[in-house]
Amino acid sequence: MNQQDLITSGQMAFLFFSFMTGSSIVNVPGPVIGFAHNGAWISLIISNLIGLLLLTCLLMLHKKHAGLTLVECSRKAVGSFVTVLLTVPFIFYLFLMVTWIVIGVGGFMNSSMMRETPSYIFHFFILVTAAWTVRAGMEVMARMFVLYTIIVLFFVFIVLALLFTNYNPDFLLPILPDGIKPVMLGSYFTFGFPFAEIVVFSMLLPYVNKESSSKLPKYMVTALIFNGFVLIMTTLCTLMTYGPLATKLRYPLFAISRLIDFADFMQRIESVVGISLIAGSYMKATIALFALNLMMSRLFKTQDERVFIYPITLICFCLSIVMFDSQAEFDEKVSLVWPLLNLTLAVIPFLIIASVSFIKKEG
Amino acid sequence: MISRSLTDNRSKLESIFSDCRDLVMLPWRYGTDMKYEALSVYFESLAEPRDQSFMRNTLQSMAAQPLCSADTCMEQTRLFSFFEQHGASINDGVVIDDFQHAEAQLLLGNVLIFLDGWNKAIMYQANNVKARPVDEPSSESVVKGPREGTVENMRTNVGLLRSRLQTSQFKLKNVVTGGKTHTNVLYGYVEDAVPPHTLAAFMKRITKAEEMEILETSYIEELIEDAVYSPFPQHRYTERPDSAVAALLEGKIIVLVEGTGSILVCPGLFTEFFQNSEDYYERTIISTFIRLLRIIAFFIALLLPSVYISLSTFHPELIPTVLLLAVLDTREGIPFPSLVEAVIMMLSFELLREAGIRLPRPVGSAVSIVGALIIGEAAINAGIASPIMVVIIAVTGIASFSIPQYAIAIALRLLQLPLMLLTATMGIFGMMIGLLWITLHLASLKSLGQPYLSPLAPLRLGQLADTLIRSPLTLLNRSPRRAHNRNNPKQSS
Amino acid sequence: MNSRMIAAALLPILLLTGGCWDQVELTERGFVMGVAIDLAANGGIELTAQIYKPQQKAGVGSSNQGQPYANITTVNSNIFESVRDIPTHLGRRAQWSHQRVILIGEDFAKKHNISEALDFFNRDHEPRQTSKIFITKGKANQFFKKKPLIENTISQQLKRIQESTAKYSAKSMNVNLFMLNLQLESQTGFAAVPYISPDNSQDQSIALKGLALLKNGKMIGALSPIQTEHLNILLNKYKNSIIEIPCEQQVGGNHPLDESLEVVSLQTKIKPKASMESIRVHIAVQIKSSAGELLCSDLSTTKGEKKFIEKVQLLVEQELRALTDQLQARKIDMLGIGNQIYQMNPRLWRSLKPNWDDHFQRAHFTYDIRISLIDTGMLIGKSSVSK
Repeated sequence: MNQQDLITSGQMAFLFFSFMTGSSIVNVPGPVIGFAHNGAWISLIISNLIGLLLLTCLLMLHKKHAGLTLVECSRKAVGSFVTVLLTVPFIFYLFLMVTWIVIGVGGFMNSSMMRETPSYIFHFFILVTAAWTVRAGMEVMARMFVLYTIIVLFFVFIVLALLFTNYNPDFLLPILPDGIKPVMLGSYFTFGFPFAEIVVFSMLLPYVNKESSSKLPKYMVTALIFNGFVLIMTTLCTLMTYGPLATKLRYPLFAISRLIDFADFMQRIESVVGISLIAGSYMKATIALFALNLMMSRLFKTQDERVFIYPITLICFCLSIVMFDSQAEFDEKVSLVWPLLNLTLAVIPFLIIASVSFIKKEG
Repeated sequence: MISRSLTDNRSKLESIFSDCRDLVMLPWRYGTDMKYEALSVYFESLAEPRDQSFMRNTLQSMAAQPLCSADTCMEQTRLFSFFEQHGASINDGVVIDDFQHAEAQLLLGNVLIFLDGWNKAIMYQANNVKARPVDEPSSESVVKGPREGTVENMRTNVGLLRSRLQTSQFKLKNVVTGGKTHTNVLYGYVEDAVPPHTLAAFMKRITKAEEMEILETSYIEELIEDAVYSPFPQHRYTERPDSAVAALLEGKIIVLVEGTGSILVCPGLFTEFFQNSEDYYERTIISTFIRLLRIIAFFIALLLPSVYISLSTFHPELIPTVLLLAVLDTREGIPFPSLVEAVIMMLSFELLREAGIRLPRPVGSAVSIVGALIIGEAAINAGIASPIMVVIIAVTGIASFSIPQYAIAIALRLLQLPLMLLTATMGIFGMMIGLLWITLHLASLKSLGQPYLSPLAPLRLGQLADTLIRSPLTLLNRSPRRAHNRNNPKQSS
Repeated sequence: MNSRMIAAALLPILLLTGGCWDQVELTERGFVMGVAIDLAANGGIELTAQIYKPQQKAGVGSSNQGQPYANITTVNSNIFESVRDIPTHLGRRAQWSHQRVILIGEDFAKKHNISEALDFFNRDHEPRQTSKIFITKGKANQFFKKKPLIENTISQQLKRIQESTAKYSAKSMNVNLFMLNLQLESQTGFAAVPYISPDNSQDQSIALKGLALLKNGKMIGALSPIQTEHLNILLNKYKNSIIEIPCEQQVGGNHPLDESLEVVSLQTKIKPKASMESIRVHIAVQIKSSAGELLCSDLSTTKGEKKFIEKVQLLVEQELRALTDQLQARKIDMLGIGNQIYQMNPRLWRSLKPNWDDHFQRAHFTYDIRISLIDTGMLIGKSSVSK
């Protein structure tokens, strides 16, 4: 680990928060309301709790093997050959993650603000910016993302606050019109996106410097809970504003920000929300790209850790153009297939490595 | 080697300084019966010969008095040994025995006296080049506060600084530069305030100056800078001694170059370019308000034309209706697309600004009349530019001028152009990408090892107290201003 | 360094050759202020768009420009196709983001579900859900031919009419696209939209005729302005208006004009109690008022005030009951009682929903009206009319 590239645990918690909230604030409330209607917030609470369990596992692994990324932990635990078997799916998963985040941004811009621009332009610029940020190193990333996260949060809360007059708490009732099953479906979806993606941080936690490492668990748990809080607030506010119409929206936060009409001049600030959403997705894509690059360079044991960045970016760019033929296909893949992919390609390898690590030391 | 023979020395000097018309070689005699010869050599353009007569009289009187009995001693040897042992005299004299040293001293503007029969020479400091008096600094004026500015003479400048910083911790070190200019470069720091690794980095880089011709402080800046191609300055300039002293107390290193009044302050961090020494002389609330105003000015200067272009061409739905209808009325009939119009107006503004600097003073007022009234008004009436665009460019220019440090203002105006291009092709997405790139560049920039964006980017809330707002002095004095000063208590000014 | 400089040089070229897809200059757009949807003769859609015409101020000597709007009519089989025909007449692309009003002719509203016409406005990213909606008596596009009194275009004037009426006189409601959608999506599916008709008799060009009532998007009836006031009371949307109280006594052989009570604030709570057998609805109204005009009552004594208030309470209850009786007779649940039942007990609602109209018709309403008088204005509580 490059000695100069370490960050404090506070910064790591901010990174974690921006990763979890970044693109989920655009893409999560819509589908989860579509699945669970008025009980969407319950789905979020459930999956947040499951996410907490996963986070605990992650933190314990980090405590045991401080300074080692997932690849090295697994080498220690199960040996090199099995490591390759477990990390290759993880790499595949990260490729998909970066590509789908970028496609999500393109889709958002295309449907809401800029229709005619071909989506590859959005993909290209976001990927290039992410690649340059990864090249600049973890420390630069942490510095920037703390600022960006604060700005994004600020805008989100301003929007939610300005909508105060439009809120109609009656719309929250009835809570479970169709029983608990839609809520479970909603939790399945939100577990896949974003809560199971916590395991990506098994690659990044070693970057925390030793002095602040003791506070890490506290900060990370706070970040996760706060992330859940923000998502739940957004969902609740959407439900309270749009009521029965909420299930028909594609991008709820954006849609509700369009309704703001305050004192006859504070209107039309949805561009601000649009920008925050893009910034959030950019942050998530950068972190995922960083983890992917790190994983590949650790797997192949390269000396220069930045050598894979541009090739990975190019591959993701090509994938983002050709992967899907239609919007509906993308939606279906993200909502139904992604949780499963997440589980098999990332969570299960992680759990295997973690459990073997714990058993091995004790044994 | 200086020879004992005066004629030898004289001819050697004449050959070295041949065709240097301002070199004066004045032969004179002293002693009983005027039997001893001597030669004064100095550059009349550099040295003030007034003190010379004092010294000649001294010599004369000393030689005339018998230092011993008439036959047992040679007056000259006694004279020589008197000087060699640094006896007291009206002027401080230094004995020189090396010819090259003599040459260098002559070039520095000192007077050399060669005595016949002595293989050494006496050097007196007599440098008196006519210099500008200490006056109000032209580029950093304040409403309240000291109005002394630095001048070209290094000694005066150092005097201005040391009289304000009366501590032995204020160290000044010398670097002699090379080439034909041999400019004297001094760098100073306060020992227990400056962080050691910054000082070490600085000292490593300043050695590059020893082979170069240094004409001005900015030459030094380019040598020690981290990123030469970045539009953002990484060092600050000041012409005010009080600013320099404040910087020194914060742990900065300052560089003075002989012949220039600008003091280079390094390292320079991003937030410092928005600060002015006057902030500390006004009341807290007022200074806080003005600082916030500068932050707004920063964003206006960077973003306003791009925002206008993106709103009018890509996202008219984001403009409130009443404003939009007004804008529509004005844009009808303009032949150019928004981007071209913006670029034209921006170029005209930059041309006006440059012209205003270069024009001789009697004609200077014509520029404002020509610029504001004729070009702006006539362009609108001819239908070439829309009033909104003129207003936007003017506000942008004014906003960029309100930022205290000129270098950042130029950087901002320079960055407007790529941002406008990005915005014109991709709307608000383009503007965002441009901002991301700029922030990425700023975040990875380091100035002498310190992150450029601190305390914004490694976010240290405690130190933000001096950035966004101006806390009362009592709070500032108690809390450490920079992270690396945590172990050193701040010196109170 | 070399490769970096090449990259830095190539990037602007890449941008400039890329072409600007979404970039449309302001002068290439026609900003639609209002749109009118009518039934065309052949059964299709007749779409009229009122487009803002910029008055060219740049340049000296711009003379009288005429009206600042232009109306474009296109006829087609559906909305989007008509929309795309607008540039063929106008020469500019239509920009929907600043639309003020949507007018729907009652012919169309009676025959089609208006959501069919409005799907374009909901789905496309440009139009906003804050455009106001009106249903018009007669053809909708005749309104666009009228000259606005003060505003730039009649569309803007219509928007302001809806806003100020809802704010100052309660004879109408604020209904924009978003609120209409909410109403149409509710469990009961009833919606109310302000109803206007042209008034060719005098200088005022628009007459507000109350509300048009829609069931499942189709217009099934209307409420007069007075009835709209009462409906607003029941829906808790009554902001400021007047309650008129007729005078019973005769003074000098004539009935004086009606007295009026100015409502300062009004709060209504509707509490349904539902079961499979019966539905009981309790309506509690709390009014804070001040005397507007006093012509025949005496409010200077406690007794007189109490008597007056009781009289008004009875009057209000009668008016409200008249409205609910009418609604029940027409089987129109404008009060959203079904929605409330759904929110509190979805299972019960599911069994009630198929025959909800009949259930509603048989519901029992009880009223509890409380009025409090805050002040009598600048004069004391006696009438200033000299006897």
